[in-house]
Amino acid sequence: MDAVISTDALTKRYGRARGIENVDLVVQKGDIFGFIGPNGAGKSTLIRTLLGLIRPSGGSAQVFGLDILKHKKEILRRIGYMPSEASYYPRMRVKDVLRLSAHLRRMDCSKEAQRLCDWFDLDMNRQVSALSFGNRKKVSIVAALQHNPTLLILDEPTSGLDPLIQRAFWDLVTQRNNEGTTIFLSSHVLSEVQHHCRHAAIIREGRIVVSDAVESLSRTTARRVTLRGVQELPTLPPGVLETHHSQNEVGVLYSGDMKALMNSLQKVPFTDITITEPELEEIFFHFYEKAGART
Amino acid sequence: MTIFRREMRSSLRSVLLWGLSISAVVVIIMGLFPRVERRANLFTQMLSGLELLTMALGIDKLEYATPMGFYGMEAGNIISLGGALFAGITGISLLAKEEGRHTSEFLMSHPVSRFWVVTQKLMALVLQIVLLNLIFFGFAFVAFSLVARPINMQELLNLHLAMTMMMLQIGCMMFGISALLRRESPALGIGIPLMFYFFNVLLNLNTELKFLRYVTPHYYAEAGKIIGGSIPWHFVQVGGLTALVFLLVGYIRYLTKDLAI
Repeated sequence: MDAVISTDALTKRYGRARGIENVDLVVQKGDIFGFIGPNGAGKSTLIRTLLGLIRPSGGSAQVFGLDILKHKKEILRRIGYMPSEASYYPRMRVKDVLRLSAHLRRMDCSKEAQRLCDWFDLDMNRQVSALSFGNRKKVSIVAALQHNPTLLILDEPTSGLDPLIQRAFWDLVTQRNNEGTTIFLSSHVLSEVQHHCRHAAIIREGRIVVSDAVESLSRTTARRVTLRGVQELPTLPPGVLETHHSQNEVGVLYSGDMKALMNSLQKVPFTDITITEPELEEIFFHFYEKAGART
Repeated sequence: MTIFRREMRSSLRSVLLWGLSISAVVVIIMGLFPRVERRANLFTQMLSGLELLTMALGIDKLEYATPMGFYGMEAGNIISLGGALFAGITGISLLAKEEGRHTSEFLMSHPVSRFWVVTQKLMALVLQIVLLNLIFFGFAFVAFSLVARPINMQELLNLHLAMTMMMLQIGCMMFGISALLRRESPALGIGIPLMFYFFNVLLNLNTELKFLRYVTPHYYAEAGKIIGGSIPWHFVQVGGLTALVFLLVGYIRYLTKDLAI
């Protein structure tokens, strides 16, 4: 596979403030890549650096094999970008915004724009200033998709969208991905990354903590072990990553030797036990806390 | 030329509003000329008592009782000041408003180079100032037709040409400054042109402040110098160079800056 996005020690600092630090990332052609991190972790900074809106302080980045500083215009021609919060020019209707976006690309996207607006049930004659946050978000989705880009960059795409629109959005993104579009999205909603992305990277305080296939991240050796009918955490062999107590229940995230765990549990008077694969959310927090402990 | 067209479309109403309102004032004032002419002696006598004021406004050398002198005295000042304010406000906002209104993320994520964005916006600024001055020039004919006097075409052309160049200089300087800002600043857009106007007033009152001739573009656009004289081209050239320097700085800054989003 070809890399659509590749960064090498990409760094962006705002004076003394941190943006992103030594980010090495590869997004392959045809992938749906999720970029996970809480607010302020550096997700938008990375995206804006890739788009040339801000200049990197160090390192380099390539999109479609082209340097982001030298070939910005060529790169942007093939990208559809949806910002986390879109602002538009005043006194414009939805169709004016979409036409302006198409004209800036020297294209006529009217048919596709109409199709996408119908898909999202978006009235093209409404003034954008009168639209709700969710509807403005729909406008930016249509603007990002109407020219059939080969790379879609979506910054927190589903925040502010109701569940029905979220479903319509993911159906459309999946359809585009099946047609060959590479998707790079940032999110702090772990479940949507787990359900829709093939690869993911976790960013913490501007640094990539881990980058792997979502399946591999989820297929960790760690297991969520829940014991019911137990009041206190029993003594367990090494490998306990995280624990939680609630009334009559103890849960641990365990990544040690399973046989040793079974042996030690024989002495514990639990009434019920479940051993499951952890959710991506738990893995995220695990990596997050691990990286936090290192710093 | 999408950005140019968009800027023109969104600013046309503003150009018309400024042009028509200032021109209306000019036409009304010129309508008073026949009365001034009938009482020329009284008027001259009255103004001779206001020597300091006429000097400050650079109109002491004008023949008030002639249509051209009266036009230069009244209309010249109103158009100069009004046009300079329009150029200042428009110039300072063209680039900065994209960042201030958070539309730069939408605009710059499209395949347009920053150089081309700046150039198209600059072209829109120049055309807006030229259109505004065409309105002023057109209404000058309306004003002169009211007083039913022949127009000294050369002097009228020179006066309007100099005022247009003055507004272009101010507009370009403000445009260059706009590239340094992260949001619109109407205070600068109004303050700097006003400062230039008052620099010229000071210059007229105190000849020791000669260096201000190179600072304020109002110096070469003053009716008192042009009517019965000529455009001081040397200062126009200096003004043009100053505008170019501001534009160059603006281009360099905008091409390399991190956009505020």
